[in-house]
Amino acid sequence: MSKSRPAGRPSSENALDSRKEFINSGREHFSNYGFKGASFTSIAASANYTPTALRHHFPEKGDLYAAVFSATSNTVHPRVVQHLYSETLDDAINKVMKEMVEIENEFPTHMAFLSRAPYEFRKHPELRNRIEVRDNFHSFFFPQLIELGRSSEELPYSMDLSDETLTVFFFILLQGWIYESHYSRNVNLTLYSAISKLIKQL
Amino acid sequence: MAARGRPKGSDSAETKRKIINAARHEFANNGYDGAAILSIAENVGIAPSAIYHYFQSKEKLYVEVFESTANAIWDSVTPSTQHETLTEAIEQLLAESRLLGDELPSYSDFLAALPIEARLHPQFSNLLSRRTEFQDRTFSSLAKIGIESGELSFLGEKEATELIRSLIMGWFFERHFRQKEVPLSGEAIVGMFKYLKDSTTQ
Repeated sequence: MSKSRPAGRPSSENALDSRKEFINSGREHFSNYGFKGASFTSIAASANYTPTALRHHFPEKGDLYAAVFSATSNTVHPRVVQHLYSETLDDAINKVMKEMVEIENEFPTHMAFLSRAPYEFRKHPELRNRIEVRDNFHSFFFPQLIELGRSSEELPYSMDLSDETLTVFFFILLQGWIYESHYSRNVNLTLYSAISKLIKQL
Repeated sequence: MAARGRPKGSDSAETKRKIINAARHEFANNGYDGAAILSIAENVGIAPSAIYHYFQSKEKLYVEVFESTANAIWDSVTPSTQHETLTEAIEQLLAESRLLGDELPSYSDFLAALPIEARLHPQFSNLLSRRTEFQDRTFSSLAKIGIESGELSFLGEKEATELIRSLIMGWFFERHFRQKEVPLSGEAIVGMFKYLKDSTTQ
């Protein structure tokens, strides 16, 4: 459906709306066609704007990509982080994994965008430098998760694995699950029952 | 100078192999859409029409490159069943995978891009199930080793398979995307299995 727009410079309220529409349209295009394949003209057209209007908000494709990345993480990350307030590591992981399944169902394009991001960073290293959110999130979330396991005594100090080693262990484990569930299009919680039993062995 | 006419038996297999190798590079570097049959032909030193003689279409060529690449990679990373412990088998898998990543980068580039290509080109969706079959073969044989040795005797075969899949694929993708291994990630996997080995065999 094409909307008719009043001529002239948009008012500030409209500017916020159009910014949001560009971000949604950008997310869709970047997820499907990649950073290189997504075209400014098509992103603008899907949002029912002209490329000039898009360029007014985001002078370059990299500016739009960075904005989509922040908007997407701001939706996804808080929903994951809230589960750090669980009583046990086991419970936190259970809730985080269920939350990820819900997010995947509710916002499939968000997850497609985020799962593709590391691939884009490899192809376009200049994008990585603009986006610290991902690394910041990981370096905040996983150490906190390990701290929870330490204080609940599910991760006893008697096993000789350092906090850093355990942090990396749970990072690649959950990251691998996210990649594989998304890539193979088969999300299931079998891994959770494995992790739960593993924690009881420690 | 090459003789005229259709190449004979062994020459034909050799040409096919050369085309697959050149195509792997081309797909890995430029993606499916960006890959040019002309430059594959130039790299092999044959006419573009000869490629169609062997593979009929770009799509068929892509599928053949996938089969050949997945077979080569999964064959060489799958540890021999002679390992008595999962810890040893995983150490071998990681070492083999590092070597392949460094020496044959186009193999892992090609395979890592498949889920992304399949999103854009639904005709390759069935390769995602092929990909899972390759994974399952390796990861379930590792799971059996771990259950039998006692390292993962507290898990069912499905749970053990998912645990190993998420760890290895998380390790692989993070290493691949960052173009360097996440510090401590190999040690974290091996360290955890060593701990389980020691605590279950006590």
